[in-house]
Amino acid sequence: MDFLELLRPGVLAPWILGMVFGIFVGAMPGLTATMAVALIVPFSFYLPDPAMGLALIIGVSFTAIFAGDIPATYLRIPGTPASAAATLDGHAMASQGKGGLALTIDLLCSALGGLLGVLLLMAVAPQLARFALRFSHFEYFWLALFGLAMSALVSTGSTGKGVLAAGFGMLLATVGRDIVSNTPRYTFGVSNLGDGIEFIPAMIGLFGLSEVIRLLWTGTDPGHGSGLQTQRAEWKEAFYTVWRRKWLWFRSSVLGTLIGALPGAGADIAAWGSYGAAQKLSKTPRDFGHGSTEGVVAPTSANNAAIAGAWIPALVFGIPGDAVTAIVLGALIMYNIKPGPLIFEQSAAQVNTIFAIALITQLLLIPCGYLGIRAFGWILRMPRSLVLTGVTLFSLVGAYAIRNNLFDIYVMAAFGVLGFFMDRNRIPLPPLILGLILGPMVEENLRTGLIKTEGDWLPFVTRPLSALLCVLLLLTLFSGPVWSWIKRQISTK
Amino acid sequence: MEETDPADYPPTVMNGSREKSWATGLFFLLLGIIGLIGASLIKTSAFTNPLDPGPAAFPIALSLLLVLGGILTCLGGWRKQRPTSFEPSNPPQTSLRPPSGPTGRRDSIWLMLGVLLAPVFLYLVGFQLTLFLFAALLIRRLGSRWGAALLSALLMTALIHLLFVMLFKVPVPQGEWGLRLNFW
Repeated sequence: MDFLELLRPGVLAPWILGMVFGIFVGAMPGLTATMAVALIVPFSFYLPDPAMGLALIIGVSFTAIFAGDIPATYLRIPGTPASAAATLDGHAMASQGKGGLALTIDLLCSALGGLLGVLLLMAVAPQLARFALRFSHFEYFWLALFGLAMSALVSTGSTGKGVLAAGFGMLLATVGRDIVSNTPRYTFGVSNLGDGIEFIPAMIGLFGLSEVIRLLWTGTDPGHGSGLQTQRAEWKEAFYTVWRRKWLWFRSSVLGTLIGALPGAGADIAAWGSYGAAQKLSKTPRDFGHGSTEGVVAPTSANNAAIAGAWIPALVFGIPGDAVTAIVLGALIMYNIKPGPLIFEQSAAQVNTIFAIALITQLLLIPCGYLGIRAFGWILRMPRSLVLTGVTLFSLVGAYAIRNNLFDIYVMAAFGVLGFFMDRNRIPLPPLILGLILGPMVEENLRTGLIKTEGDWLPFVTRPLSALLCVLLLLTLFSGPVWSWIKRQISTK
Repeated sequence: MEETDPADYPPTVMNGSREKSWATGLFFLLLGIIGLIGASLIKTSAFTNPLDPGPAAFPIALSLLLVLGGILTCLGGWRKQRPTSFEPSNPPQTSLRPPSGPTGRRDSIWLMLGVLLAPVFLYLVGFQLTLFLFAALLIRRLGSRWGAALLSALLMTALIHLLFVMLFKVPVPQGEWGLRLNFW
């Protein structure tokens, strides 16, 4: 579908409705951007054109991240984890009666940050793909393991738990028929498991149903039924502020894109990283946390830029940068768009469509975000019973609709309980998801590599790129504990 | 996150952290054992390339990792004298009031029971009736009055029917005893 066709009403209508859905879910504390994307994916498969489905998914992912900044500003409660950094100065500004200004700055920076992130994606990804053509089985094996190690390292909670979660994800990925020999594994005679665990119902369970269970278990009210008074947007002063802070916006967006490109890092780490960097480099660091506009510009530019950054390893290597991109990657595969270095040759038209959709989404973010800011008070007044029931119903129907198979509802339920248990015990989820996606890549490249080398392991560590990736992996896993040990030895002496 | 001084934490908090280590360790240990049992059932085909490690090699390696990791985590819980971090692993809880206690837990259990029974009802009474019953009972369970619950459930079911059945033409189960709504 070319650029102008994307602007037809028939395409724009579901796209904007999806973004409105993203605003609603992202703005509701307790519901997450990942949940929004997981719930919208089943809808996307039933649209008449794959480009419409991609527009729906991409639109939801960017708007939900911005929408989380709205309750962060007014209520000091981030709507999504990526909005936590925006809470500090955004809420301080709202306390000073400048909530409308804070959110308008936020909206502009989110749109512009996302725009720069997409432009960097368009510039970097094809170049990286040319380099990636030199990769063979050995390099892909280490690259996938490196991606898993990074996600374990940067996830909240202990690295050890992250590694185990990644291992568990890879083990789950072995369910079904073996990719090399077609032998059934872990099916236990259940024919529905012959093709493995269906990815989308699993994601809906992990991020949709598990959140509902958690909110019920803890008695959290996603809305508050309060009579919140929101403030008007202040465009003129917001434009002037963003123009004055243009270098901060640029630096934060680039940093956000780079952090987003690291597997497992995600928009929340990008936002905190940019906030910390902005404070360190600021002429007025003491103002941070007390209503500084720099403290709003930095994280809000970075978190949307990170969404675009996460697409870089996803498109080039098939390694998702975060949980949201992991779900989108699953959707791409179902659309027969196979990520990898050859994507820019074999699916050039679809890739250009993705780029165009991502660019237009940043522009559409401004009116949709403005609506979200105005409607926030109404969103909060929705009763908890309706919100939680609605999410559960959409999870049920969404899980069923993928394959019209009732078994997928049980898959969703099982992953819902699993996600809740992991959350209660502070076991990070992103490594599990990356393990599910990257497990087949690790195994297939390992076994194919060994077949090609007739059982010889040496090429896995002697090829230059393989050796480099192996060293990076070891540094990722062991540099932290080794450095801590060295510091302890020095301090005791 | 900075390390916190254990003296700042009451004993119940530290005990909770130790219990979580045990639960996590046992969880991974159990998964690893199940993984090893499942891997022992994997049959290698006679036509497998002799240079291929085989379909069971990777699952066995992962299962051993989980068993080892589970044992180490349990040992860590046994030796734990101080918590290392209280940062949540997943999105932060956004509660404005204390945990709901037994009521919230019962609601969660009822929800899961409903989700597990939903496929059975979908098969027996069909899509629309199942969704309506599920929604009405859940909304009522979460504190709404019967009138509001029934009306809300009807609206939600109608919206989902409009989207999935009429717009997206998803083939939904009609049910052995369900309503035949093909005329819509």
